[in-house]
Amino acid sequence: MNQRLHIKSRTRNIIIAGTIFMLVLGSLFYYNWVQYQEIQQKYGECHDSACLRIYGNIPSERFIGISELMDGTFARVENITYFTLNSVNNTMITTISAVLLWDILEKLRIDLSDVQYLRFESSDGYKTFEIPISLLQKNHDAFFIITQIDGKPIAPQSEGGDGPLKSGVIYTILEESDEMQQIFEKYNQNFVHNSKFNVKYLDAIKFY
Amino acid sequence: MQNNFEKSNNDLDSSTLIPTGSRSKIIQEKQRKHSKYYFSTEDLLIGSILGIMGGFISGLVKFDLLVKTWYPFVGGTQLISGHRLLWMMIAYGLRRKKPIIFLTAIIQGFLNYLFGSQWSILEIGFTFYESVFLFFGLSIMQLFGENDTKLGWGLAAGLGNLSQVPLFWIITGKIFILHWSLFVMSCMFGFLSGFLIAGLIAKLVVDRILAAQII
Repeated sequence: MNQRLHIKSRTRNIIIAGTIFMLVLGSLFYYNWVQYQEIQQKYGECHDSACLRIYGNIPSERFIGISELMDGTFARVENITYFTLNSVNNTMITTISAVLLWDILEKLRIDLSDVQYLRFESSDGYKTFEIPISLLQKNHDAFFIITQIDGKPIAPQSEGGDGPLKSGVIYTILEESDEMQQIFEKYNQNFVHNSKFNVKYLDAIKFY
Repeated sequence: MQNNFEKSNNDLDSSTLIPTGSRSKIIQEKQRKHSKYYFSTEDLLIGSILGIMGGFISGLVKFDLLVKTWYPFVGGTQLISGHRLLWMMIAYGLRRKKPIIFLTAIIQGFLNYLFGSQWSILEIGFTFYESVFLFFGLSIMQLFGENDTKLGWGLAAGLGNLSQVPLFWIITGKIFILHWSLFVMSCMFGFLSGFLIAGLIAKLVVDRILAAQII
């Protein structure tokens, strides 16, 4: 009788713990899902299969469709060698084709006078560290919106890829910046590396 | 009159035959007591083979594709991350020596490094780190008398897999930028994945292997 009671209480405890676990998980998921839906609603203005949203402390929010990014409207670099350094000092080399972010801002005449930083954001909620806007203003060719890797368009998330868009920043301009060093130290990183800014599923750039 | 040889032959049938290769438990126990090594040759072989299998399968197969095509938030791939600890748990289950987890982890981590892990040689350290928490988990379950139950295995493996989430979030700096709810969800997914894949599935596999008397 006591053994049966012991087993029953064990099973009961497992069920209670499991229920609490799933309730907490469900609540957190629901919270993030609501945030996600709110952001997705803003993309209603996008009439393309994927869009890059430019928003923040700028006069007005802009959406650029992926077709526009691919059709030569903006200045591109083709098949350049791109080095990525990650947080454990590992280097990866890829060949990319990309649109220059500076050219997008110029052609859309986006006013950056009230902007101090920019950051890349992805559709899964990932955000990068802030990048001083001065780095972009001094290095027009160092910030990319990557559309192809190794000559092929980046597969979208639904097809298991990291695209259709990714971001990229040339490592040397980050390494040489004292302000970037301080930003990385603030986030407990031992050294500056650019893998932090290789955002997959890129869908927004915030200027603030 | 039958001689002893004929009599003994006639008495032999399939129910009295001794399985090939087995030795009595008494002999094994005596040899173990006299051995100066903690791991037997069989322990080393099984731990190594499972580490190699783990290195190949966990290192080369893109399990995260099962999740990233549909899960919308950061940290979803933790749902499938338990496969990394599966091999260590199977090694423990087959040999019932907790330190064998470390052997399997080191070999698995080394193979992952050879296959071009983005973490380079630190991959060995990360796998070893997970194995340490798995070891603690199993030790705690042993204290509660749950080291042979599905729940105990699940909780130990869940703890082992959960341990790597804060580590990677701190190393990559995500923990300082992203919302805490995403971090907590990742931890919970890591625990759940460890519980199901490295705990329950590993126990099922071990039970089946032991029942089949393959090892």
